[in-house]
Amino acid sequence: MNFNSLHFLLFMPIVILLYWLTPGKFRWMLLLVASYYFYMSWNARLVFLILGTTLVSYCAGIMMERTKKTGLKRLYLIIAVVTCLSVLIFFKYFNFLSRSITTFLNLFNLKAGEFTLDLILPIGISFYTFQTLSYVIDVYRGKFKAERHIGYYALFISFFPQLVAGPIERPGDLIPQLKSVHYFNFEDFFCGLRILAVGFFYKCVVADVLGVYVNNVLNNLASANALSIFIAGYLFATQMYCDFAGYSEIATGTARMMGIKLTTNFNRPYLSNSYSDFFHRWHITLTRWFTDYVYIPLGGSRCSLARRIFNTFVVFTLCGLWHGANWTYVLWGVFAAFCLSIETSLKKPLARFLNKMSIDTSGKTFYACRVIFTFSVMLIPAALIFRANDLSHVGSIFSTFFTSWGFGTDYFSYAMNSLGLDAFGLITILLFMTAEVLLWQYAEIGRCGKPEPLPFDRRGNTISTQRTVIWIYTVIAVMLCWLALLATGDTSAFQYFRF
Amino acid sequence: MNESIIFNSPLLLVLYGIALSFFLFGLNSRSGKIIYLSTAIVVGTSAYALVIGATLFETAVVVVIFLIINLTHVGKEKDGKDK
Repeated sequence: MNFNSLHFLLFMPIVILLYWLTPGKFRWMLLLVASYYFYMSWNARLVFLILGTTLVSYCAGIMMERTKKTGLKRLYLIIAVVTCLSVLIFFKYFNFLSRSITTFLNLFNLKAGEFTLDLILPIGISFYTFQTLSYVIDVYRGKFKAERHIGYYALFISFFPQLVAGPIERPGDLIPQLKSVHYFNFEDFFCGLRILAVGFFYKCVVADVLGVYVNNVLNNLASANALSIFIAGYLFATQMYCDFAGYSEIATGTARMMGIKLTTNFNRPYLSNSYSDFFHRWHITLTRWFTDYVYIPLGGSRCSLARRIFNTFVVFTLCGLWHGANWTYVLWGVFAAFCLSIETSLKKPLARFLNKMSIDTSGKTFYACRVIFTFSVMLIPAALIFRANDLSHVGSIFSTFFTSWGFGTDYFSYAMNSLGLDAFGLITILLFMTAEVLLWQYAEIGRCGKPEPLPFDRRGNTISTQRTVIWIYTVIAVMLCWLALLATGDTSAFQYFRF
Repeated sequence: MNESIIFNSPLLLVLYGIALSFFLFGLNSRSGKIIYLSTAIVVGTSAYALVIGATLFETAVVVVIFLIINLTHVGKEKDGKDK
């Protein structure tokens, strides 16, 4: 059940309606059934995996709290972590590891035969596994009391808005909200509707439309040049953001309509003024997870520069691998670690140099230059690596990029033909991306809980009227683009569903 | 652009122009009803455009233009404060 499917568009309002009609203390049952139904709509058999993960971690949490012996506590933690990670590694990485080992052995002419299994990647396994690990580790550390109610705990793991692609919630943030009784609140409900509409706009209007032009270039490099690759990289970076942020907004909006506030997962990442700033704005919950459970236990930043760089490479290699069973993701992680290490190493020398040159680093111009540099030099190449099908595709993309420079109108026309962009297409993209940028502010209205005028304010307030009108236009644009792409077969599942 | 139904139809352009005028008038006179009327005209004109053969994409483009106009014109009170 994709979020951008008719099935979900029927499922969601029914669940929300039933939620508000159900007495408070029974709502967890409704949400649990709905969440498992949502999961089973992808593949019913795989529900046993999430069920098994839930039961193991639930028992481990309770056993850890009951025992006073540190060694036994650690044993329960290890059992839970190994069990959850084993499931993830087996389903996600078994074939990848097998193929990689075979390829490696064949390099030495050892003629190893490939052994793979016909495995289905369980949807959302990376996300709910990390959420489970977060719970058992927090209970072990004493940061969170083990949840005794199996129903609430199972709901925490399987809550359908954030089940398949995050945000990765902490038990301390989500479980109390699931347990408390929420009363219908117009402000929360309409805030949720706004966020939901913006999420669908990001996905159906921006991401899926841009994806068509990106695929024209990156799936057909023979007819591409450097300019078209650069533009495709830029469009893919936007597509990826809108796809993933769109999903997060749909999840957030859906939960908000039930009075539940999910963690913000994106904060205008392409306004980052450095690569480290980018990771504080992009997939925030994943960054925090790796920071709290991998980077800091390794020593974090409170160690020598060499050790800090080592920690960074470990974290980002794992982060890359988390995204998928492909060496391109590992390369992406290594590239990210490399950029971050360069930034860390050069931060102080660069600051001293700029100070000596009397360059004002606090001004808007300098900030803008940093944003443009970060995006063009770091984020676009990273996006191209991320998008590539395999390592040889990465090589093809960059070799085409560096060997096909040119100038002039013919060169520009060739790039546009390669993208499949005519004048109308160019205007369409520019308009859609402008709306995407402006809609961010609209989605922020009321997100942080500040009271806002209701959309149907009878005082005739034009601001609240416009907000309603914006919502209407957003929904209409979503419907038109979704139908248009459906007709041409260009709609796609959310990219992060693959992880 | 040459094949565009909307941009080659004077009636549709006039209707969208009327909708835009109503929107700007409603904003100026702080009348929510006129803004809603403008929206109704846009929706109706877009539906008519689809009926007479406009593509879904070009209709979406026009709707997004009005969306952008609304997003950049979320008004302020006369004393300059945001609501």
